[in-house]
This record gives sequence, structure tokens and C-alpha cells, in this order.
Amino acid sequence: MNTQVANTDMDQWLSQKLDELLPSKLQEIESNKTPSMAIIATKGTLDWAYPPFILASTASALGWDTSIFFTFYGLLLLKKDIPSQVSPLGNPAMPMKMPFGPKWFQDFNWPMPNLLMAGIPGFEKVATGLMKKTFKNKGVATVEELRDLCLEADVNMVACQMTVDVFGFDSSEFIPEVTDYVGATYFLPVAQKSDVCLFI
Amino acid sequence: MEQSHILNLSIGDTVPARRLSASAHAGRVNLKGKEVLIEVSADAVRAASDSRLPVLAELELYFSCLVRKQLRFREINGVQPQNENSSRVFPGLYAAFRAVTTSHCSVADVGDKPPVETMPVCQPERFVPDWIRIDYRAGQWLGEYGYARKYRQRLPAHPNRSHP
Repeated sequence: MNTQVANTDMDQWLSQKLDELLPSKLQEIESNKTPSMAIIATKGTLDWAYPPFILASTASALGWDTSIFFTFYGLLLLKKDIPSQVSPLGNPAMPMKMPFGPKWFQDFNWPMPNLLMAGIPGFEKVATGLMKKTFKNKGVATVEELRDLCLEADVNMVACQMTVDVFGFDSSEFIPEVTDYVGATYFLPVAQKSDVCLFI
Repeated sequence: MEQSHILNLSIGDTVPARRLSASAHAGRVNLKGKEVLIEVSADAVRAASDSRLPVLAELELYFSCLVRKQLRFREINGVQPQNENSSRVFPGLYAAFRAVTTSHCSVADVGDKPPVETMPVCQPERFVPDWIRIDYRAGQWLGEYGYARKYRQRLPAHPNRSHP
């Protein structure tokens, strides 16, 4: 009987102590924790090449642990020479403006019918060139530079092995800094433990 | 460091390589602990030596919805300009690196007082560029900088070709 009373007292004391100490301890652990981010990059067009590298380089600049899993068309972003192009076709939100000439000319938004964009050979190359020129005029870092920044900042870049196999790529086509060739079972636990997880 | 008026601003491809004036100074400058290859044209060397006050070339890396690079040129007055944030390229010209961020996104916002604030970057040396080019043309300072891991690997052991 006395032992039961002693145990109850002990439990109450322990519970009270935990209530006192635990919040501050948890807060301390949280504040000392390095934030982390996991990105799944699935797209390989020029306009979609920017977001994963911009977010990853920014997170790294802030000291976050960052990982990117490149799968499907996102795998192209790991090629030694990034072949990404942009297609205005089927992308009505994309402004069609010229990066040269007088200001009124540059400000003019060119109406481009889908028929024209789909029918003219080389339209994507022209659109890609115009987008690159526009970004360069504005001083925006290129995709290659952003990837270099990410690599310099130790962003963990992993490639989807299954996609490599399916599309018939060879690992020699990719930058040597690719940390590993893995599957979803590898990356999901990384994503699970991350504070921020983004699918791009 | 007290900084006077901004001389001018240049972005992106203001000085593409094919139009860069012949380099009069090529060397390395240490920014945040990282060695950066710098090329300065003869006109820029002359402009720096003619300048009443030392000129600071600030390499601004702007983290926003996009990442923007630009060089800002300022005349410096007041205290000795060389400190932990800036390095001397040669007498009259200093270089500094600064990462900035803002609460709203406007890549075209290049006024005298852009809505930016210094970003607390962990290990800033990792974001310092690999090369800088500076020119001076028609009374205006121009320049660009960039990153290239391949380029970095090709850096010569002793790149100082000449000194002004």
C-alpha cells in the first residue's frame, strides 16, 4: 500500500517536473535544429528549371540542409550541358516580349496565336533565346550558374535511377557531383524528415 | 564605411566579353576568404586613378523569386575603405560582396534605393563569384560577375599579367 502511494507521488512529481521543463527543452531543441528542405524536381523546360535551383540555393544560403531528387524530365537538369528550352505553346500565361530595342518595343506584349507557335519550325529555339536574353539583361543568374551555386553550397543532388534506365541515359552524361542514383524508397524518408518538402 | 552617391548601375550583359575593352589589370581579389579572378579595363584603371575618392565595386547577389547578380559602383569617403567586407583591387578601386533579399519581388527595381536588405548568409564565401569584369565607358562604370565551376578549375596558378 505504501509502495503504491510512493509510486503515485513519484508519478505526480515526475509529471509536474516534465510540465515545467519540457516546453523550454523542446524550444531549445527546435531553435538549435538546422532546418531542412527536400525538393522533387520533375520538369526539364527552361522556365521550370529555375524554381528548384533558386529555392535550393536560397535555402542553402540561409544554412538549411537541402536535397533535390531529380526524376522524369527533371533529370535533364543534371546533364553536363543543360539542354532546357521553353515552349510558349500551350502556356498562355507566358508574356511574349522582346529583350531589345526601344522601351516601347520591349514593353509591347506580342500576341502569338497557337497556330503560329505550333507551325513555325524553330519557334521554341527563338523563344528560348529571347527568354535567356531577357533574363541576362535583367542580371538574372543562369540555370547553370544557379546549379553551380547549389553545388558550391553542398546541396545534395540525387537522380532517379529508374528514370535513367527508362530513358536510356548513361551516368557519364550527368555532372559528376550527382551524389547518388536512387529510387523513391531512398528519397521518401529524406522528404519525411524535412521541414519543407516541395514537388516541382 | 560611409558611402556617397551611387555613380551608376549595371546589370547582366552590360559588358559582354566580346565588347570588353582590353584588360589592363588581371589578378585575384580575396572576397570573404575566396579568391576571385578580376579583370579591369585600361579605361577603368584610368578612371579609378583619376577619381577624387576611392571607388567601391559592390557585387550584389539578390535572392528573391529569381536570383539576380549586379555590380554597383559607389565612391567611398570617410574611413579607410578596406575592411572585413571589402578588398583592395588596386589603389583607388575596392571590391565587396553583399547578398541581399527583399520582402517583395521586382527584378526591374534598380533605383537609387532598391528595397533590399543584407541577407544573413551562412558561409558567404560559397556564394562569392568566380570572376569579375570591370570597364569604364562614356563616363560610366560597367561590370559583370559570374560563377563557373569549370572556369574556376581552369584558373592559372599565377594570373597576374600586369599591374597598373
